[in-house]
Amino acid sequence: MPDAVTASRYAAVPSGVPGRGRFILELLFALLLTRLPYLGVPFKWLESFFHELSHGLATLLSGGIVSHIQLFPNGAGFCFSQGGAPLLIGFAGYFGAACWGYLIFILATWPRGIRASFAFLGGAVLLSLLLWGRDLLTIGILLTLAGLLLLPLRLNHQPALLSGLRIAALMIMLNALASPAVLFGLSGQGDAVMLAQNSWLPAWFWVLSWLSCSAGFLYLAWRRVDRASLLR
Amino acid sequence: MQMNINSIGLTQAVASNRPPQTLVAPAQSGPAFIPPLPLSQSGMPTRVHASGDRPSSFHDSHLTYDSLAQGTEGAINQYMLTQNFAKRDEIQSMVGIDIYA
Repeated sequence: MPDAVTASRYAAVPSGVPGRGRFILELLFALLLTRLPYLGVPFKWLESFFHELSHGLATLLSGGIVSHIQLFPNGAGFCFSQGGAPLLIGFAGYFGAACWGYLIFILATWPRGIRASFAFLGGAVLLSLLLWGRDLLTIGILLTLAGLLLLPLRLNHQPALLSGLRIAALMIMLNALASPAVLFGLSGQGDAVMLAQNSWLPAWFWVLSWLSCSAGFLYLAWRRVDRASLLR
Repeated sequence: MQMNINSIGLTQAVASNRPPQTLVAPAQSGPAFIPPLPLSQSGMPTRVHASGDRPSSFHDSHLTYDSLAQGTEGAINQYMLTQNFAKRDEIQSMVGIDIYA
């Protein structure tokens, strides 16, 4: 019969947190999926969506107005806005994508709320489509993402839903880690250059900060798994 | 303040952010778009021979280039095709719309 301390420890551990080995396997699978030519494309759209969504939310939080967002099949995107704080909005894109990836990973370790998590994310995509989708291509991409997030609700197998959302979250975080690295090879373009022009800090500083944040969120996800394994 | 953001001027300006092959150079000085960098300038390794230096097997080198390009074209070319800082700056100054990528 476990004592009260042990029982309270086990009660505090969400049962949706995977073991270390499973986390590594899911991370490797997510890494593999991001490299596949066609299967990885919708998940790149997912990271791009959360990137532009973060620009939009930062605009609203800083008192600006979002006109619309544009998404492209190659994973690029634009957010058209007026007003707000340029530094906050410019920084929010890459940072926000990694943040959303970690948030989704947390949701994917909550077994009882897994269906609500999928519904919430799918609803966020549909709401963005209604408010900020203007061209057919963006609307098509957003509808695809909504389907990707809402169709799994038809499944009854909870572990599959948990694992699927965790892998999606890891893919978003991996893409959020890879995207800023592209900016190192570009000169005169990108949000890093815009931030450099609006501040006294060079573009490479901003790119490094995004990379650090993305790596940090991946580490936090690992730490959550590691702590849960220690408590078992 | 209500703005007609989807005005023709903005649509045309935004349309210039599409892939370079669909763009038309404007009358004013300065490049209308930044063409995609060849891989050799982007810092990515390439085995493409310089002009005038044809390898013994030109077809093989072309295949080598393609196989390398598949691994390297993804991230940088994606960004290059849609990023146009000069045009974005023009749009911002024209209609006061900020564009974040």
